[in-house]
Amino acid sequence: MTSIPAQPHDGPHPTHRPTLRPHGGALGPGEDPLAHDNIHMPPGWGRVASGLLLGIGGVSCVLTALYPVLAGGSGDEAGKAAKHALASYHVGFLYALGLALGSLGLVMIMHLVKAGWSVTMRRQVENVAGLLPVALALGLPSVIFAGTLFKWTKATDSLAQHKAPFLNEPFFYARLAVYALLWLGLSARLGGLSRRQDLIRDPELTRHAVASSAVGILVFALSVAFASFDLIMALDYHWYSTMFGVYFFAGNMIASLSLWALVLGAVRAAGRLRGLVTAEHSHDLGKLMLGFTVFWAYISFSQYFLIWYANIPESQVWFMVRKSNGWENVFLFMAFGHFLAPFLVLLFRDVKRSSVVLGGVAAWLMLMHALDLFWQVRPIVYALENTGTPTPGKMGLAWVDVTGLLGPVAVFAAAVVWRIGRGVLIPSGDPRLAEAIEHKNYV
Amino acid sequence: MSAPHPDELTTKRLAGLAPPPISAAPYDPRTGDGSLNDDPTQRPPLVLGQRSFHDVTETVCGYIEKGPGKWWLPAFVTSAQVAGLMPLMILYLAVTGVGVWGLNNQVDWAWDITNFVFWIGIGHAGTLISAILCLFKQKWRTSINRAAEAMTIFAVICAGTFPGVHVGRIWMAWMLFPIPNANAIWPNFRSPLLWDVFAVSTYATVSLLFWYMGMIPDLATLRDRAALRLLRKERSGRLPLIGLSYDRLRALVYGVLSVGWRFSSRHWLNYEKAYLMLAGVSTPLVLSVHSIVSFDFATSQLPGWHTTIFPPYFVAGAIFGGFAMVLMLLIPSRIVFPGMRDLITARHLENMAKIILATGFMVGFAYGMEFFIAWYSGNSYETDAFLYNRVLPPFVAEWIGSERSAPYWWAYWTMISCNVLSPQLFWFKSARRSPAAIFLVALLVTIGMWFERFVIIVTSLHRAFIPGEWHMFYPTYVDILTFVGSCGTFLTLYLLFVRFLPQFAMSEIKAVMPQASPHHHPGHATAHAADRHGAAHPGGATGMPPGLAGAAHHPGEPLRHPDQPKGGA
Repeated sequence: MTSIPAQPHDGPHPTHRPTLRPHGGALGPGEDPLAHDNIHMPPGWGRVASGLLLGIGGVSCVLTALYPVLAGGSGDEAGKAAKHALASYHVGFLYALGLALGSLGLVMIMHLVKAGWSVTMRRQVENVAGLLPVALALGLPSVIFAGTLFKWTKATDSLAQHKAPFLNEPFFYARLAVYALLWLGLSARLGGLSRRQDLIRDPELTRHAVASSAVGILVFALSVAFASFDLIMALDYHWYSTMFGVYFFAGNMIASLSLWALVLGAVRAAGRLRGLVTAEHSHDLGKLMLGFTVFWAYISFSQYFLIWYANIPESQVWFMVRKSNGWENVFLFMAFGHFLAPFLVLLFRDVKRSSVVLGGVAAWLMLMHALDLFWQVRPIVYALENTGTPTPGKMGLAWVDVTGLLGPVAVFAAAVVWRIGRGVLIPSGDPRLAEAIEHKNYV
Repeated sequence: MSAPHPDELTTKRLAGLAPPPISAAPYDPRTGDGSLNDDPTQRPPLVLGQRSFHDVTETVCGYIEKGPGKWWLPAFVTSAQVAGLMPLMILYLAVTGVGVWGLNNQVDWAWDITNFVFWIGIGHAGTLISAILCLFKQKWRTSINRAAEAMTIFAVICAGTFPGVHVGRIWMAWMLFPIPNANAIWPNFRSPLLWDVFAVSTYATVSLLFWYMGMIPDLATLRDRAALRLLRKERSGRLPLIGLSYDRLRALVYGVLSVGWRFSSRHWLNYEKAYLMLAGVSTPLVLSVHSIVSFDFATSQLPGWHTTIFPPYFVAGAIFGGFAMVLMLLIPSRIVFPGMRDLITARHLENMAKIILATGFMVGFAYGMEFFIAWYSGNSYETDAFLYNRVLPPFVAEWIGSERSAPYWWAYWTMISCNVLSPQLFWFKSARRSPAAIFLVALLVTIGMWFERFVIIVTSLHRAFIPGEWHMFYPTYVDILTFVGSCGTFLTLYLLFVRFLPQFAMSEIKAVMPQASPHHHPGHATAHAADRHGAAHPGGATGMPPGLAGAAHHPGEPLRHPDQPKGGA
């Protein structure tokens, strides 16, 4: 594969104007969609971007680590600054983890429903799922400093004692290790099957993937739900919500679908996947984004609404903190920014069929997902100092909120860009490849 | 994938050159009836037995025109008699009062609301299959959507009855509606019970419209077939006393119902657009109805009811129970209507079995989350509502030395075994492929879903915060017979449906048959079959939009004689 020289790319491709061409017909007559050049990125593609992102991520991580020193202060102040830096970093880690997990879920769902339309796009989402090791490694600071991040590690009140059989440090680390092993195993298995199929083109491997996904999706549902309890809900161990796992899943799905749209947009902008990923695929991906935007709104509204309506103090505590000290603005903004605006925009057919416009919406949704996680995690600093009760406080925004979030996210993004440039862009041995190439919407 | 063109096939058959259509393809150990092909390089056929478009029309219309068989009348009479129990019991309730039910001060909702939630849940599968699976382009849905939609309407009718009568004074039911102040009483807009009225009535209206609109082309086919027979002076039976011939009656009734449908491409175009829009509107409705039903419980502060996972959990449960009911209707249908086995293949049943397994896990996930969070919350009322109202059987309590046990443990464990354990059978391919096993699991799931609502409602209510408020609920014969009557009502309506209305969306089935594909040309098909990887052409109908294909070859159109008056309203 490496022996084929780089082909100069000839100007903007018709793919850039897909709305004018209903089927995104970007291939010339007689041109083979599976030509080597069409299913590989140009050699060296993204090297600069990847390096740049890694640099930004690294610098951000270092700055975040130094925040307690740079922000000055001593004693209690320094402790607070450390917690602030850690909470912001935790948001970034959860964001990267959610992207990998959502992508893993997407791969399994596509196998389970025997999706044909998305085969030419599946490799990109497999790649992101395959970066789970990176996402998990980024979580090390959160785990190492769990004592600072998670109040329950030091709490002694009766509730903490009641929850001790679950929320104790050995079991907590053991659980995290089990989740990590399960996810790594699943992503390695599914990614491995798909890449092996590139080489040996054995349709039987598709059936293995379906079987692994059937078991995998169960493991995935339970582990993701409990991971959301451990990594987010337990930040305030007083609070509980049976919906929380589904809420975490819904947010991750939006972010992963959006990342998928962005990656495909980048690949198509580089003139690759002509005739393989067209406006038809973009259209259906946009529909999924629309669907999950509504699903997220449904889940988050239901969770909020039921707690607000019943108005029981112990379940209100989460929202009391997140609806005061300025956080209420974030909360209200998400109703429009995370739901209403993308919902209305994604209703339009032309939006979904243009990889450029869809990419814009995807970038916005990814930003909104970051805001959602930030709103969930960050109020544990300043706003919620005393156990269980919201205290008058402040949002306490500082530059570390940007670097903390940007650090892990930029590192993960660097890995994604690096991954796109390596290997085939499609699962070239998949038996349903022809179906995906012929995919049409007819509406 | 290389089936001959339907016109060619029909011509050959009429000339006696081709064999008549094969009903129910011979059983093959590997592929079952031919649809259970697991090869990822192929998509299994959705219609078996080398059917032409004409065969589909003949199969679907034939059961209406020639009658479903000798079994129908006894079945109808029996179920209608059972259905009669419902108005009888409601009458007794209305003239006597809710004391005829087993309610008491503590348990003031029991079988009435259990039955309501049970039936409204069943009413979800139809719209799910029609709307959500339509948006997901699941082509296999075309064989089952019509029957499922009909079932939805009938289930919603049964469901709607219970809240209407559950306070006894049924003449006050009009107060459910936001009628401007007549008696200084305004409905409480802050109550989820009122939102329920809106949600359920909206759902019923849209589901009815969706069902009826989808049926119009098929009703027009029935009209045209009757009109053609009249034109050819073919003899049909006559109505007793009036002497009106059945075909004249059919032409009249189906003619009025088909509102002037003429199979023109303009009609199809509008139909397609309307269908898509109704699918878009119905999809949020499927979720909203049962979410709002769940709000009836979850907005309260009652332990066991107030939990945030209720909305999606109820929706998943509704789909679960709805699919079980669809299976319970379609599996016997395949026996009493043998021609349908080519349309509802073993693959259709297997797909539905997989949905049962998946949604069974979703409700199992919700049960698990509720139970875990009940403990995790540290709220002793919440823990007690689970442990000592629902879960702990007396013999286990004795064994572990607990002084308290859950009196309704049998209801809880019935729910768990039916809803979580029984679908596990579907991990086995042989179970997913055996109609008998699927029927059994569907039956268990239906029982389990009824018990789920009973567990949620009665076990949470019967022991609230103070021991002085603790009362058991025992159903009376009126409770039981009202529910039995509602089952009879449901079945009666379904039997009427299979007798007089098309059970399949003919145009939609035709659109997913291989002949509908623009790539389908008998001689040219093989050229398409091999792509560069040697993978076979995915086959099936990747082609024309549903409806358009049906229009092009629809039997209704060419049959119309130029002199014949238009049969529409």
